[in-house]
Amino acid sequence: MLKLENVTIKFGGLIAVNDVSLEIAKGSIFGLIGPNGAGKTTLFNLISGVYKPTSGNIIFQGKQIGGMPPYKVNELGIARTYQNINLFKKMTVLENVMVGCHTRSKEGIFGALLRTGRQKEEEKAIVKKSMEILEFMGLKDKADFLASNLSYGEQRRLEISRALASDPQLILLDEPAAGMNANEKLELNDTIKKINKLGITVLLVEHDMKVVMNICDTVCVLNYGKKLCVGKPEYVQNNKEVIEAYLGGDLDV
Amino acid sequence: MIIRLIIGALMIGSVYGVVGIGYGLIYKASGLMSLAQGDMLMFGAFLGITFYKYLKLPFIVSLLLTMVLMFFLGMFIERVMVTKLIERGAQTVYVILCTISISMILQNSSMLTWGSNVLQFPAIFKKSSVKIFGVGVAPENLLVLGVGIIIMVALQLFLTKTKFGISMRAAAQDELAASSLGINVPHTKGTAWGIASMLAGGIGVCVGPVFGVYMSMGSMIGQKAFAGAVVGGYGNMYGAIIGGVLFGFLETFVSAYLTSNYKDFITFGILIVAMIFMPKGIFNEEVME
Amino acid sequence: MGQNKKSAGQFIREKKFVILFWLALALFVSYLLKSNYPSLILCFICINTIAVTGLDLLFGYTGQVSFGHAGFYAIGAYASTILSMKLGIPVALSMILAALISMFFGFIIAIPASKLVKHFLSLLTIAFGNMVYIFLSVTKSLTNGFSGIINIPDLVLFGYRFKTNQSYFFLFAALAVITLIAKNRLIKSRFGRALIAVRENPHAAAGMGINVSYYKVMAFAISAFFTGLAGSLYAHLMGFISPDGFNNTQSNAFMTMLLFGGIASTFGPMIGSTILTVVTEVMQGFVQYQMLLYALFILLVLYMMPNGVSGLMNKISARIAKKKGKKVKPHA
Repeated sequence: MLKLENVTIKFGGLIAVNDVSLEIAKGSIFGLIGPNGAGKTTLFNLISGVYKPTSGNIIFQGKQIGGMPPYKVNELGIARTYQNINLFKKMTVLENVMVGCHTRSKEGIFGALLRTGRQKEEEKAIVKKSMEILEFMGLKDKADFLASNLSYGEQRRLEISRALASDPQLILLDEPAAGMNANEKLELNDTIKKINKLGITVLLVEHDMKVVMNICDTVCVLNYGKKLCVGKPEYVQNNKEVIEAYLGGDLDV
Repeated sequence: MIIRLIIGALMIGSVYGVVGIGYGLIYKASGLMSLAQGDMLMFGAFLGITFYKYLKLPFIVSLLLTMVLMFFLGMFIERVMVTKLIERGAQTVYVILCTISISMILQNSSMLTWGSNVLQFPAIFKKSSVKIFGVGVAPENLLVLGVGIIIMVALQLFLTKTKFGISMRAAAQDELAASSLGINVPHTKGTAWGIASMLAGGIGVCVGPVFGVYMSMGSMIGQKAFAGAVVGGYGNMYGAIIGGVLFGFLETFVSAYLTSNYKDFITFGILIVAMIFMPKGIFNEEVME
Repeated sequence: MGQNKKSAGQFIREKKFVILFWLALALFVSYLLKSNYPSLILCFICINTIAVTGLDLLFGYTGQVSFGHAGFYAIGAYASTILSMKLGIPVALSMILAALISMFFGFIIAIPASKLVKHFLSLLTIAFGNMVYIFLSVTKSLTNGFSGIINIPDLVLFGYRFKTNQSYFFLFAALAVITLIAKNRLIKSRFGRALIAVRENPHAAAGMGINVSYYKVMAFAISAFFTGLAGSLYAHLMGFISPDGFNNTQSNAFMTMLLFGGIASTFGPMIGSTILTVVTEVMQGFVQYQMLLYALFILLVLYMMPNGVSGLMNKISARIAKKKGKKVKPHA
């Protein structure tokens, strides 16, 4: 589904991602781990179009997407969440998800001004779809709440809801478990599995090993922008180089 | 002829530069934009002419006295108006609105106090013309240039060599860290605004003899100084000076060789084109979010 | 979204109050209309409402500041004047064309503007406003410079000639209402949500398929349309224009009205325009002290309401909602 071929990005003299090649199988849950600063979020930014690779190819479903602007990447079927919650704080929960529906809807200025029948139908459909997603993520009761009034765990769920609204085939989750307590993390595991069951491929960046080892089919370890090793969770966990890289780093097993 | 143009360009350029430094100081200290800088120049000019023409004080005294008063005016505005507004939760744009109001108050009070006619400075120098490189130049122009340079050098020394100046720079970079080092951050903010007004007012006193003193003299100058500060890298002192001088040259030479009617039109037009190609300014100053 | 009987009842009560309020307002206004001068003020209020609504679409909803909006106002005024006087185009048509010409300039400026932020954008818009002002003052062959243009023709619609301020008021009021409705429709739609998303968080918006540049440019263009339209209305109402009313003071006035009334709200521009237009006119009586009193008034209100009138109303309604235990969204 997603192929990275020798992807490199340099910022001035700093090589943030160094010659990384990966293949993410369709329908899998793929985990990306590594110490802080290893380049995980940078890789996400490369895939979602925020950065343009200095060299290498990023191929999504056969299409070259390296260097494409983020909104086009989303149109092709990739959605993401962010490490620091990037919600629209002044909008309600429902409105946040409705924005997420943007890619898959099309009414523009004239539709809005003239309130054509077509536009009204589309608005109704957007609301309906958004409510369905909120129900799926357990946020339906809070639909009218201001996004900034949600608890931290709820906000993360809202971010995921918003990402789901664009009907993605691949979803990038950037540290979704950060700041969650043990219960919330268990719920998160279930949520991710639920999403995967819908047929959505999941690419996950996480620090919490319990989450990663529990749900990922494949895990890849990054260190200093380079790919250390990739394989099944158990294999990676016992790899000598990986353990060395983490010694002294943050590994909450 | 060229020499006269160059001196003229340097003269008006240093005016833009000095006023532009003020924008940078305010931005570095408070993260805000003040739209009243041009009017500070105007108000300073009025104060200066009052001291010199009506109170018959020596020019230097008038200049220094004006600068002191303008300093307190700027500090007053920051401490009493701006800070209080921010404390009450006003967003940035509303503080800018406050500075717009202050600009109007300055203009209107000036008109009420001194009338709406153009006031002329009595002669400051005995000679009416000075020879520079064989060309006769009005000494008032050199005064502006000279005072401008002195101001810039003095400011540079203040910011790098004095304890308070260094505290100001520290507070501008990181308020929390500076505060925990015992620096009185609110004090430094007030001082920054004070210096901005002081500089504008001071150069205004020198500009008065060249152009006359009137209510709207600050408006265009303020906007061009702002342009110079932005192009040079907003917040950067050297950038403000270089940007200001750049605009001085642009304006002077366009006026001399192309057209004097449309000189501002072309100046702003070139500015727009420049911004298309250099969105971050000459010194690539980071835009504070 | 849940409807319980209690809130439905309150809604009806509220609606009655609103209807009464508008009736009272209409009565008051028709009294004012009896003489020419108050009618003129009412016309200004409508024109300013349209102009500031345009500005709100740009600044309130995509966060792009503009300190040069008088430029579009001027383009609208002069374009309609020149089209109707020099080319003999009927005024109704020249007004619309003028608004479109203004919108065209909006597109042009929007392209560099959409790449800039904060003070760079402020500078760009100031430069634009200045360029328009200077061009109009200096190009005497086209605009008569500072002498201005007189005898601007009245609007004639379906054979009816608009001569009096009163007659203009009814038209302008209708146009203002249409503008507010149009804005409301734009905001409460996919387009409007995209605008707000661009303002709140352009990165997240892009990640959701929103082409940020496109929306920034469209917002600029639509904004220019409305403000330009307001300019054309002004020209034909007054019968006389000169560059004096279109400099950066006017741009600041629009910004002031918007901030005062409250940004990103349906009625903010109207409230700001109404209060400040009235205040300006009241201050006229004090001639020399006018600007001073006006500025002091603004400062005073800023102290009491640091986020404008609409900001205060938001705070009040949020507090009321909190007491009922429900979390309510602001008027965004």
